[in-house]
Amino acid sequence: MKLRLSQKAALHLLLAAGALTMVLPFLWMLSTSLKPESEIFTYPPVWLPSTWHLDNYRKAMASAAFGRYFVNTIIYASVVTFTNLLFCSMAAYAFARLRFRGRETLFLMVLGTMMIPAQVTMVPVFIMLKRCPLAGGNDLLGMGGHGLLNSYPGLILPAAVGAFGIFLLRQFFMSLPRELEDAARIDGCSEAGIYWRIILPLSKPALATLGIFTFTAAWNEFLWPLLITSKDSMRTLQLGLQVFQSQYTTSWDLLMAGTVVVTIPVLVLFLAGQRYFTRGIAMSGMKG
Amino acid sequence: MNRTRIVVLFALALLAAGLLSGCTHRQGPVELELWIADFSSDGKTRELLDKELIPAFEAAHPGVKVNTQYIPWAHLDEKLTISFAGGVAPDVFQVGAEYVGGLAYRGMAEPLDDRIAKWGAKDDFFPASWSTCVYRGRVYGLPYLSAPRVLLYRKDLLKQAGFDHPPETWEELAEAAQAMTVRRGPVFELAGMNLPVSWQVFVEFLWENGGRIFNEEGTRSLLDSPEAVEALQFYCDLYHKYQVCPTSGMPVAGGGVPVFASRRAAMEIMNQFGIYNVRKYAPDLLPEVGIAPTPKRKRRVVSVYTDWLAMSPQSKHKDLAWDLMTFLMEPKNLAAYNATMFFIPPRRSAVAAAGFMKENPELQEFVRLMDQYGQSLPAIPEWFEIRTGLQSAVSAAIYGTKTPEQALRDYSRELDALLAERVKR
Amino acid sequence: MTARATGAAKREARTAWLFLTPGLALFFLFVLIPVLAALYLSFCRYDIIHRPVWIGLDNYARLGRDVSNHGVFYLSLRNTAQYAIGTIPVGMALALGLALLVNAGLRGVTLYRTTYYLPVVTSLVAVSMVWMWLYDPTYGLLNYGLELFSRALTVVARHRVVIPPQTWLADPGEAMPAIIAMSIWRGLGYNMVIYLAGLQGIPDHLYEAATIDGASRWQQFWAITWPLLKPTTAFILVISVIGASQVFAQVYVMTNGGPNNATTTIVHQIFQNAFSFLKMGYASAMAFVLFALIFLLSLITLRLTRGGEVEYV
Repeated sequence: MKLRLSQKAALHLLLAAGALTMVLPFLWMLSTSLKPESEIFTYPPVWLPSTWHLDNYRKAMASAAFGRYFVNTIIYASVVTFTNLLFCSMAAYAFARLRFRGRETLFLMVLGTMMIPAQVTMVPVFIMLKRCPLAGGNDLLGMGGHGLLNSYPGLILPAAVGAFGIFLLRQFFMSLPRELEDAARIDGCSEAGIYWRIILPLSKPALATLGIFTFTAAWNEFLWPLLITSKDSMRTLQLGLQVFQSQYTTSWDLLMAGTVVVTIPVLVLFLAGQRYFTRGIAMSGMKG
Repeated sequence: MNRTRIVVLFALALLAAGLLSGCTHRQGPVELELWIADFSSDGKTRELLDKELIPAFEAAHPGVKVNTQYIPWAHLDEKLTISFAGGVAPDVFQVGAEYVGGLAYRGMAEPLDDRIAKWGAKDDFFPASWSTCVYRGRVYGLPYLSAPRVLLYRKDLLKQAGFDHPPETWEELAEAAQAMTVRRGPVFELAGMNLPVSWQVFVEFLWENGGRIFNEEGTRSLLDSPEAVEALQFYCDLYHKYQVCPTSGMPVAGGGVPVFASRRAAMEIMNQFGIYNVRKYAPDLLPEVGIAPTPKRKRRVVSVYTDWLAMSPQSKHKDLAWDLMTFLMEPKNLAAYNATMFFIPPRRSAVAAAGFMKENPELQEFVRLMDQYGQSLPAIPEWFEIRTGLQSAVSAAIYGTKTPEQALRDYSRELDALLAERVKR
Repeated sequence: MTARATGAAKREARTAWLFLTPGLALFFLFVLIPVLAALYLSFCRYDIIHRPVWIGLDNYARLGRDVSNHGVFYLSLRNTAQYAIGTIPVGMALALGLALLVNAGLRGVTLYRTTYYLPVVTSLVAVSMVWMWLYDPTYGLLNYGLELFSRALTVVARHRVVIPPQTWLADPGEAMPAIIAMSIWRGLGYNMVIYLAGLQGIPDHLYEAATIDGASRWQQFWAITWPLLKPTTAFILVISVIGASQVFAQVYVMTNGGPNNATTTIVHQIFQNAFSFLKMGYASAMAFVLFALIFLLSLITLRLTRGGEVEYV
C-alpha cells in the first residue's frame, strides 16, 4: 500500500493532534512533578517550573521502601503474566479448536464470571486464602494460622488465570486460518505439537497484547495488594504511592513524581513489546 | 517431544508457585497490629510513629513488636471489612466520627469501660470528643484527633460591608453574606459564604434550630419535624434566595487551594484546616481571619468530628493492645501526633503540652469553642446509610428536584423503614 | 458414525480436557467458587461478623421495589447505561480508526502507538486525580482552554464572545459527560492495541490480490478488513460492555457518585452496600442483577457477530 506524500502529511497531522491530546494530562503530571510546592497552584497554568525541582523525585523515592516494593511488584506482575499466557492460551486452544461435550456451556460460564464485579467475590477469596490448609501455620483443616495471607501465592493465585485472557486468545485463535494445522495433522503432528509449533507462533500479536495487558493491570493493581498484605515487606509500588495522599491533604509534587517513576517500567515494556504489532511478522510463515 | 516440553513448562510453573509459598510464619515475639488511617501526606506522621513512638513503646515492652500499617482512608472500610470477615482484624485501629454505633452493634470493637475506669484519664478529654466513642452508655475507644467546625470570616470584608461584629444569628448570617457577595453575571467572584452541598452543613443547621436526626433510642426519624424543614429551607435559601454561593459550591482552586485561602469566599464553616490553609497559601491574610462560633437559631452548636482508636475483640493480646492505646494517648505523644497534621488533640493536658498549639493562637480559639459548644454526631449503627441518604435528600432540595419539605418527608419515611429493620441482638 | 471416528472424537475430548485442566483448576478455585459463594450470599442477610441468615428472595424483591420507586439503585442503573452508551460506540470507532492509521506503515508509528497507550499504563487513580485538576472550574486547564477559545473568537468575530467557565464535575448535568470523556481518553489505547493485534491476523496477500483487482482502499476496508475483524470487534464490544457496566474507580475518586447522585453507578452502589453499610447480601444481589443484564447483552452481541471462523480463500 503506497501513500501519496500529501496523504502521509495529513495522516501525520491527524495522528499528532490526537497524540497531543493523549499526552497532555501526562505532561501536566510531569510538569507538576518538577515544580516547587509553591508553584503547583497557579492560574493561568504554568507548564515550565521556574526552577526544576528534581529533588521531588529523590524525596518521593525516600518516603517509603520503594526498592522492596519494586521487587515485589516485579515478582507479582511477572508471575501473573507468565501463568496467564500459559494457562489462558492452553484453555483458549481447547475452546477454539478442539471439540468436546459441554464446550459452549463451559465457555459461557468462564465468560459469565467476568460479569460479576470483584467487590462481591473479594471476601470469599480472602477467606479461602486464609483457610488454605497446611500453609502459613494452618493445620490440615485450614485453622490456626494466617494461611496464604500476606504471601506471594496469596497475592498471585487469584490473578493467575483470567477469563479475559481465555476469551481474548480464543477469539484470536478462531480467526487463524486452519490450513497449516490441517496439513500438520495429516503429517501426524499431535494436538500439543500444533498448539506449540503452529498456533502459538502465529499468535504472537495476541500473546503480546495479553502479556502487556496482564502486566500493566497487575502493575497498577492496588486494592488486592492492599487487602492481602499486612507487612510493609510485602507491599507493592501502587501501595507506596498511597502515602502521598491523606484524608485532608495531598502532596501533589511527590505524588506526581512517584507516579511518573512507577509508570516508566511499564512504558518500557510496551515499547519492547511493540515489534509484535508490526505488520508482516505474524503472517510471515503464511506466504507461498 | 512437544508433549514433554509442555510437561516441563508446567512443572516449572508449579515449582515456581511452590518456591514462592515457601515463606512460613515464624514463632517469634508477640506481635501487635496497629492501623493508622490519619497520616500526613508529607511523611511526618509516619516518621513520628515509625522512628520515635513505636520504638519507644517496644523498648518499654521487651518481646513485643508493633506492626504499624498506614491504611488510606478511601479504602479503610474495605480493609476493615475483609480483615474482620477473615478473622485477622488488627489489634488497634483508627476509625472516624460515624463508626462507633456500627462497630459496637456488630461486635467489632471491644468495650473498654473497665480499663478506662482503672486508667482514670477520662475527664482529661473534651466531652464532645469523648462522646464520639460512646454507644448506649459504653465506651468503645479513645479519641485520637479532633476537628471542630466553626465560622471563619474575613474581618476586613465584613467591616467594609458595614458590620461591626461577626454574624450571630441565621438572619445576620444571610444579611452579611449577601452584603459581601460579589457577582459578575452568573459567575461568583467572591462568595459571601462558602457552602458545599453537604449533609454535614445541614446537620449543623438542624442542630442550631433545635432539631435532631432521630430520637434518643435511634428507632425513629425526626427529620419530618418543622425544625428540620426550616433548617433545610434556610440552607436552600442561602443559594436561591440570598444567592451568596453557587449551588455547585465554590470550587477548590487549582485542584488544591481551598476557597477561603484563595480569597474567593468571605466566610465559611470550617475546622482548623481553614487556618492551616491560610497559613500555607495566604499567610498575609491571617490577621484578617476572624473565628466565631457558628451562628445560632435556637441554640449555639459547634459540631466536632473526632477520629479515634478502637480495639478489636478478635485481638489475642488485649492487655498489650490497651497498653499501646494508652501509650499513644500520653499527652506528649498525643500532642506530637496531632502536630504532624494540624489537628486538635482531644485531651486537655495534650493541648497544654503541644508546642504547635502555642505557636498558633488561633487554635486556642477552636479549643475554647469546642469545649463550650461542642457536639458530636449521635451514635447509631446505621450512620453510613443515614449519611448517604441525607446527602441525597439535601442535594435533591438544593438542586431543586424536590422541595425541602418533600425531600425530608420522603427520606424520613425511608429512614423509619431502615431503623425498623435493625435486628435485635 | 464409525468406531474409528468415535475413538478420534474421544481422543480429541481427552486432549481438550488436558489443555483445560491447569487453567480451569485455578479458575474454579479462585473465581467460580467465590462467585457461587456470592450467589448464595445474595439470598442471605450477611454483615460479615455474624453467620449469613437465609432470607430467600428478599434482597431481590427490595431491588425490584427500588427500581419501581425510582430509588438510588434505579439511578445507578440509569447512570451506568448512560456511561456505557457514552463510552462504547465512540470509544470503539476511535480505536479502530486509530489502529488503522497507526497500521498504515508511516514513519514514527512507534512513537504514536506508545503515546496513545500512555494513559492505559498510568494508574487509574493517578489519572483520575489529574483529570479532576483539568476539570477544576477556576484553575483547570479545560476552562483555561475555553477562555483562550473565547478570546480567539472575539478577535475573529470582532465583538466580545464570552463562553462562561463550566463547573464540570460539580454540575449534575455535566459530571457524567466529564467522566465519560475522561474514560474514552483512558480506554482508547487499550482497544487500539486489541484492534492492532486483530489487524496483524489478516494476511497481506488478501490486500495484494484486492489491489491488483483495482479495489479502492475504502472498498478493501469493507470487503476485507471489516469482515475479518469481526471476532475482534465482537471481543472488544463484549469486553467494553462488561467494563462499562462495572465502572467504579474514576467515579469513586472524582465524584463519589455525586452531585445529586448524577454519577452513582451500579458498582459504586455495590461498593457502598458491601463495605460501608456491611450489607453483603444486598450488594451480592445487585451484582447478580448486573450479571443477568450483561450476560443477556453479551449473548446478543455474540449472536449478532457470529461467523467468527472465517474461511480464507
